[in-house]
Amino acid sequence: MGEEKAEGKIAAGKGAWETVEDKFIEIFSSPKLAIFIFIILAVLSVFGTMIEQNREPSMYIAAYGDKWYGVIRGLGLTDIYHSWYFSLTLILLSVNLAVCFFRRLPPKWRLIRDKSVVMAEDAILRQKNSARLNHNMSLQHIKDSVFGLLRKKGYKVTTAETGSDVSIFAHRGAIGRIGSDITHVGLLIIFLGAILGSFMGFKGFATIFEGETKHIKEGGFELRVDKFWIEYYDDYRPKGFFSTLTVIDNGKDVLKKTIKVNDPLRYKGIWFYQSSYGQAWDRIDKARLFVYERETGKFVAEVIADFGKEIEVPNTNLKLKIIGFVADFFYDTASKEVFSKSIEHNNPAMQIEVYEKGILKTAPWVFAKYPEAFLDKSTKYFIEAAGYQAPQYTGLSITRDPGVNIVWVGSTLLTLGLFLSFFVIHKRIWVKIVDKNNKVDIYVGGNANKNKINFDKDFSNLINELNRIEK
Amino acid sequence: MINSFLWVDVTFWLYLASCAFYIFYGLFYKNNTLGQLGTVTAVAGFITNTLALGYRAYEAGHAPFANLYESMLLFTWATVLGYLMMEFKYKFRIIGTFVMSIVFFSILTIIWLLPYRYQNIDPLNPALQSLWLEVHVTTTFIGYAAFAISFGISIMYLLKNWVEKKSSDSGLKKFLLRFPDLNILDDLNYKSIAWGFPFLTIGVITGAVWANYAWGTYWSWDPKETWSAIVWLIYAGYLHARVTHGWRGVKTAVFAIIGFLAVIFTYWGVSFILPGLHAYA
Repeated sequence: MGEEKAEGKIAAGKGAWETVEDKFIEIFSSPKLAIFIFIILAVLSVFGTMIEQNREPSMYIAAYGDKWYGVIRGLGLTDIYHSWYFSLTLILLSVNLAVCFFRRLPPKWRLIRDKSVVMAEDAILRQKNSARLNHNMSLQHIKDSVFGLLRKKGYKVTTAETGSDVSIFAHRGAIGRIGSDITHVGLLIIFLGAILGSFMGFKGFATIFEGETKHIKEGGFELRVDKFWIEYYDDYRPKGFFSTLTVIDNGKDVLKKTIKVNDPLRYKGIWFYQSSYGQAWDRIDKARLFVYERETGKFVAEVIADFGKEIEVPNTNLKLKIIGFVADFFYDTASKEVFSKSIEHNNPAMQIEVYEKGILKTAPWVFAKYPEAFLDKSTKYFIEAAGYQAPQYTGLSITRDPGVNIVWVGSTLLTLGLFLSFFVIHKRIWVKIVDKNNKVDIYVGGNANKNKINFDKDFSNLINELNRIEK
Repeated sequence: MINSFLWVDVTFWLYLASCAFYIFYGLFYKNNTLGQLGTVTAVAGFITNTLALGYRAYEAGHAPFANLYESMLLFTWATVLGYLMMEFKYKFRIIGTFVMSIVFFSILTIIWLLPYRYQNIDPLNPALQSLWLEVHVTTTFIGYAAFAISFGISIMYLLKNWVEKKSSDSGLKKFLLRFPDLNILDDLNYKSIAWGFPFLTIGVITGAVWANYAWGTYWSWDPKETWSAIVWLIYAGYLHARVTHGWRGVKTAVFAIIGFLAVIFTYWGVSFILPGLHAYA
């Protein structure tokens, strides 16, 4: 990153429009603006991490109070990364990057393509590093030696005969000059990919029960969840969450894969990620029920009842049928309806129809966590829900992002550009060998665009080796 | 019994010794032996630090990058390695006084400050089971280490710059005047950041690639992600200010110090204060 400071001088005698254009280019290619934009983006991002983003209003009101919530919301601080001023700053940055790129690249490109070999002796001696030496050897021998030496050091060497003299130009690492430009283009490409992704992609989430099939409308195919399970370490910490998925396209099973965290399924550009899991909140597969005599508390029988199916209770004339389930029981007194307050199994309850001699007697709610809440006295029995099994669902993130590969291309260029600009030095050396009747004068000059201390060493090594050229 | 905790303890004492030798070398400047002892103990500490990480990986059965305790061992490891390379190349042993102090303070932090449960070897949770763990963490911490070295050098710059203007002839002044020339410190500061910045960049990008595999999105403005972007912006600002805009000296030293404070917040502050998806370290 050693480009010269660019000055945007406005030449006299230009039209008003050209002056405006020059002014625009000058402002947008100045490093001051870049630094200013970095600071703005950093400060806005700090705000974004200090104030939680995209939460429900009640959370903000609890944390900041009504009045401040209005202010924070009004300023867009609850979704700062999508606010107009954040977007505007990113646009400014993009313009800054593009203007810099188009302004700085052409002169650098001309410089690295520059193949002018011949340089006058005094110009050579005016280089940052220079030396003059002589040998009692033939011009041709010196020329071959210098040529070989520079080639061995990895330089690209070109020579030109100028009358009785020989000129040599050698350089290496020219690509290092445009490292910063490659980085800037990489960043622009990342932005492009991000914009493409946000307009053409989608992010969704689905909960699918084992055995269920879901239509994926964005891809025009079906996805079936065959199985979901959790594996544990010896200390009962989860080791992995797994879903076996089958893609059904045109009625045929076309792809089957067991996904886990870090290992998604991909089909037709749509990715399915293992994201969460849980149990149904509105139904169960089966329940284990205990039946007692209410008066004596005597245990009568245990049955495993399938959801929605009548089951006979041994030793009695009872039949039971589970007809409803809620994971988090709530009774709405206004509508007189039962529903689940949440999807958490906080207060699981099931409604059971009780038939005596084939006649429906009652249909009480049985609370799995509070057996003593069974107050129904229609029969002489007391029913307890000892356990139940609810269908499991897997939570899948479903995304399509056509910009993501563009983002990776940009990221690669960005990184490559950084390494080029920090570690690849453009070193240039000019040599002129002047023939003086079987003696030669050698003029050597050179410079490097960065890490000049390193080049000082290189150059003095080169001069030492040139001094030691033998016949 | 030889295990990773033993090696961590040995590393702690070696880094303490190295830090002390460098400080005494700095204060009693005619004694080169002290400086050499500083280097030797730093190298020895680096070796035992490597063993601590190796044993830890062996005991855990995975790369030892799963929590703060483990990543701090990687941080000290990378910082000492970076410093020793710099000492070998440029021979400014006095810089060790500052860098080894940072390293000693870091290892002291994990032994004394960090709650004991962090030392447990835990199995990898599902989100961490990825090939990207090694490359993401390693590159990020090479970046952090380089920024730590730059921080030490920036402090030296400010101290020397401050004392050069003072007329008194105190012992402190003698100590500070032994620091390398201001322009050399400024240059070494730049060189550290020139190493740190590309590695931080790779760390952020590999983190994004990993996030895309694990969470289905390469960027979700999670606090850790956002703070790594803030750090990136600060050092990008430093580089543009120094290389393109021609800033030198105090201004760039202050820039680099702010950068490292942001690194500390990204690394520790976000983990404890701003919980998010990236809640391991």
